[in-house]
Amino acid sequence: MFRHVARWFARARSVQHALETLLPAPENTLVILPSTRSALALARRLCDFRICGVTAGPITTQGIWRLARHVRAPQEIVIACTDFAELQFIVISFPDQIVGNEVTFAPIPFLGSSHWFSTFEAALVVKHRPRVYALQSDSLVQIRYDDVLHSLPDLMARLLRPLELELMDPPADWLAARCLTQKSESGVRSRMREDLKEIECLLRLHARSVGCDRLKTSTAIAAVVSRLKMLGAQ
Amino acid sequence: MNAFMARLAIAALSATLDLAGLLPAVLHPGKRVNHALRDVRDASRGRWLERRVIESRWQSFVLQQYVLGLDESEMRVFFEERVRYEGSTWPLDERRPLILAAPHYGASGVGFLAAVHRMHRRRPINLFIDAGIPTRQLTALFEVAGLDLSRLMSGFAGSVEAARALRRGECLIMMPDVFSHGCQTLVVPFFGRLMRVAAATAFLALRTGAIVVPVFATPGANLTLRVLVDTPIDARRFAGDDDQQKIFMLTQALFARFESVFRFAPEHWHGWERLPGSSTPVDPAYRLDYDEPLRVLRAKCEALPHLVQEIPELDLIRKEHVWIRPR
Repeated sequence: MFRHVARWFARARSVQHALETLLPAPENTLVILPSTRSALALARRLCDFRICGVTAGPITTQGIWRLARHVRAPQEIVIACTDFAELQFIVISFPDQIVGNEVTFAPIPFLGSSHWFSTFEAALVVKHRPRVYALQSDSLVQIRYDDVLHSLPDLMARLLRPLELELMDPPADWLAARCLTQKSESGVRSRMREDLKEIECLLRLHARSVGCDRLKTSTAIAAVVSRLKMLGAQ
Repeated sequence: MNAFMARLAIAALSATLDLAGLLPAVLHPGKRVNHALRDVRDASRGRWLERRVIESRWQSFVLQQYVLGLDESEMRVFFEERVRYEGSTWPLDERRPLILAAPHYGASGVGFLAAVHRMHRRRPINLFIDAGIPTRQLTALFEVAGLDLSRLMSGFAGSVEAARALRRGECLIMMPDVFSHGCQTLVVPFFGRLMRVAAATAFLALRTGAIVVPVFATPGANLTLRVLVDTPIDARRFAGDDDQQKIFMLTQALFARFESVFRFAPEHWHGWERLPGSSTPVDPAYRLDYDEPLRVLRAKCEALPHLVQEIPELDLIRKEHVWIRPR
């Protein structure tokens, strides 16, 4: 119990320290946080005092965190700042909650295995060169990145290093465990397998339709089934 | 549990349904079902469903406990006097390989026993089920009824043994909507969604030429059971296509039967809480039941451009002309 109380005080102090660091700074910064209750509370406090853009994801869009007015899709944040040399608002990113493997994602080593993370933070850093802060062990640390700007994987690894260190021993209030599992290679394969099964279902329904091009449909079904076998689904 | 206590238990719930409505969702299955259906298009929801679900679950549980307390002769009397059979029961007298496909619906365990009793216990019974699914209650029911039940685990060895049993003329009981591992599933349309279901029923039916008989067992208020034996699905009618297409079509036909019964009486299905996790919705602009599947497929491909890049054949399908069926 004493450890919990001590941890609570440490968190409260770290939130206060973070606010004292971020609020007075004249320029807008990029803040990379883990999806924990305390970090979400910090984001909420920041949004009360400054204009902020919080990355949208399954956790930040939940009404309980009262971030609805500040939440934006990563692409929207990039577009909003694209015509300017500097960030137009404080950008608060929660990378561990965002799941995907499209072209805007890249696999990087994380917690001992490959995980797919969005290149959003790296894109902002390369374009605008903001100060970047991250929460690590209940304290705000600044991330230096000038020496890794030439390499996207190295830059992403540098930006996410504090998050990785934080999640080596995840805090009790960390909320993105399921999201992180889906970001792993096995999670990505599992999602791809399920998407392909759905496409196979729709193709097989289409194969029974009047006016269906049987050759194209059977070729597509065979290609999907073959890909599923590679993913170990059949 | 004797008959008096069973009737008392059922009456107690009926009298306190309003009070039961005060229970939190973790203790009230009706509320959980209502919550699970909030994203299912055209789903019947409301307080009436909550009450009916908790009533159905309680009646099924009490009926099962009551039957477990009977001896063999009392059980025969129960099946003769308290079970009403509906639908076409002639498939149960068929000599062909027979698969009883019962979803986890109502008092499914007692329903299996009732179906076996209706077959005059002529055939050995095999239960084919996923290894991770507990069957203690079902096994106990069959033991009380004095029936030998062979349990076959899913997997290669179990499938081979199940096929052999069917070819010997034995009966196979399967629950196609219950599985523990999502890998060995296929996707079929169900309630306007794309749902993962077990493919083993169709696979075994096609391998052995078996008839698949959907069976639904619903409890009544007075310790009665209504067993609906639906029109059988003959695996031999799915000819001409490749094996995978036949498996898909038979599974789709089976779940279309399930869906029609669930739409009529949704309160009895135990799978509603699993539905959001085991299925995905179709884009709200489209309907699987009305639209040509190609339009839904196009929307899916547009939402997953990286898959289309990996499988160029999908791009050819996307560009296929859509024939709009007049409504």
